Amino acid sequence: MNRPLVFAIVGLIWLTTGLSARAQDLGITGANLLRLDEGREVDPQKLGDFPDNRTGRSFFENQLRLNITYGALCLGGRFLYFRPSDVDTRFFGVDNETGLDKRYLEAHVQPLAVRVGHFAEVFDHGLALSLFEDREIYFDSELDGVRLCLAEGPIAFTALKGRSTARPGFVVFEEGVTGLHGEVTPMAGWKVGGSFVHLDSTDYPEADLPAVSGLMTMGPVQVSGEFAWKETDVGSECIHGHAAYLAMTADYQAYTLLVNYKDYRYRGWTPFQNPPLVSREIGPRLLQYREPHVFYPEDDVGYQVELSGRPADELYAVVHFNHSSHHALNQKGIARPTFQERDFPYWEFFSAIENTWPSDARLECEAGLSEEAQAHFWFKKYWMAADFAMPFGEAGELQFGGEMLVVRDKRKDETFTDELVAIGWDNGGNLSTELRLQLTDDEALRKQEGDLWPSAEVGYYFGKGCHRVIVFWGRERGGLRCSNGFCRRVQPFEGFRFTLESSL
Amino acid sequence: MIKLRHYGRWLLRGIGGAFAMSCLFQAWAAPANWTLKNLDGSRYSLSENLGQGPILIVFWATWCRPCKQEMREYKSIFESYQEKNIQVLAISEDNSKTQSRVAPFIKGSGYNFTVLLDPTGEVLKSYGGISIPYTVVLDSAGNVQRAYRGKIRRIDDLSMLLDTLLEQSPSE
Repeated sequence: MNRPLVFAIVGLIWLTTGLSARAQDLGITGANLLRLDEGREVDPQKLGDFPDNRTGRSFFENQLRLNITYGALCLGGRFLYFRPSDVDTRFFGVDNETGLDKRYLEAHVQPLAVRVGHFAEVFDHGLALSLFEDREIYFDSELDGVRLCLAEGPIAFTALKGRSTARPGFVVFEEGVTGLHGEVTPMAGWKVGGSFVHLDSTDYPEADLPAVSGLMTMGPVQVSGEFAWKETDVGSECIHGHAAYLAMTADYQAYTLLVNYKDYRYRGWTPFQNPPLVSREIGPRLLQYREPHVFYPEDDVGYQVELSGRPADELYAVVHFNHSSHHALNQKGIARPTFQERDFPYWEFFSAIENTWPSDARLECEAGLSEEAQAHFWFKKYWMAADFAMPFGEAGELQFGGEMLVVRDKRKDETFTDELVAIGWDNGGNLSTELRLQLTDDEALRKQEGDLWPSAEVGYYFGKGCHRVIVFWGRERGGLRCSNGFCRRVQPFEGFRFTLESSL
Repeated sequence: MIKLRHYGRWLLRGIGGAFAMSCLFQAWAAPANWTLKNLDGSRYSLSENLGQGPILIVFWATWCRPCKQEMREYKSIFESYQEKNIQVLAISEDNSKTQSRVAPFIKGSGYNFTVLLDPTGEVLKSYGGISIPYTVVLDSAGNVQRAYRGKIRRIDDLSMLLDTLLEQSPSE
């Protein structure tokens, strides 16, 4: 597609319509993110136990993002310089990249907004369409195309057409996507919407996804939901799938009750649909490293119930339970999760409190347990985590953190414990530091990546808070890093990491 | 011939696109704009809320611990800004996966800021944000006056800047 030609012509007409005389309207915003790793990492293709299974790691990435606003027109783009490590290249298949990998031109003239170039988008709860980018996990479903949004009074309408970009090592392949979404908001708290998404037959099978959604508010109770159908064309036949999501919140005094239900059975799910998790994705740090729950929208049914609120002015408390599994065979009526091992059940219960004292000391505690059966593990986990911060010096703060995770491997009949302690200091101005130590008594993990992970991290802000430097030195555990249900296994790392974030 | 037809098609599309865009540009008068939904499903448009004093935008998410600490720590200060006619917008970067947690957290914490949803992160990126917490101060015309990366470190500086902008903003 010869899009540069389109941009050139648009630019030419823009310059010749006399609008360039409004130079006083020109605004530039931008950001730069630089990351450098130097050290060693575990090589999954290298034989031997830790530390002989390691190889050198050299990684460099710089993302420069610029947005030039000129009246109601915005021109934006990102220049990427990416040099992955040898392991990333060999194991994941990612490759060097240099160039302008994102660019767009957008015009806002009420009630219209038109964008040509790269864009992300979410229709309602994301059951039919949800596009996003997360470079940490090598995921990018953003489209390169045209998007038109219209919002006038109670009516909003979005139409888009574009194509995802297939990048080496990324989990999204090339696909043409066409989408329409409309919604009517007759009054605040009430909404009816509908979507239609067509996936072209490029790297994924051709499919259509119509969806309906709604929102209603009755006093302290709010209910919203979405239902999407999926019809995938696989040549001789058409496969029918569906996805349903329902959310309810109810307020009573200083408390809120949240109840969510999901029933996802796409029968041909693609990365362009990212429905709500209906569970927690980010919890205490130790949980992130030990086979975190991975969401599986192709076949997932479940619910979550959470009660949160403020029993006292300085105390915030949460009690949470979620349960999900694959669909059970021969189940009748409304789909519901099971606790049967063959359905790969997952459940989690935790309770957390945050208390702030008048002296500005702060305590956050969490205790919980979970169980998950999968094809390659069946873990039951118990954990406790606490973070305490107290004023120190004129405006500074001392921080202490501790976590303990006990993992019961029910298939191997083994129990092991992971621990984490951290101490930090923040001067309340430009500087923050943290010393961290993680340890485990898991023999299998010791052979793979060691049993001790000490590290130090220093963060320094400068330029009136516009720039931040983070320097990390030490050892870091490997494991799954998840975002929106997509996960990538990160290799254990030892060495030096430099990160510079800047606003321009 | 085929090549010529190919370029001809793109030239026509380009001219058509450019013509449509230039028609839109002729009508423009508004400054940079974006529209986001709030928690009750209605829309907030920046352009419709300009000219009423400075705007403080705090980008946060339910899964971001420092963001929640910052909002809790500065709750009373942010509320005092609102009393001075400074708009405080808490823009959530929760996507469709975790968005259902936004309303319970806001209500349970007793915040009365305007909460908006930016599930694609486009508004954050348009202000030069890479990570959260991220705070942006706009003058009453919507121009970026300052951006703070990470948790706000010097709240006094921010208050002074907002007071200055408040004095400069046209009185109603």
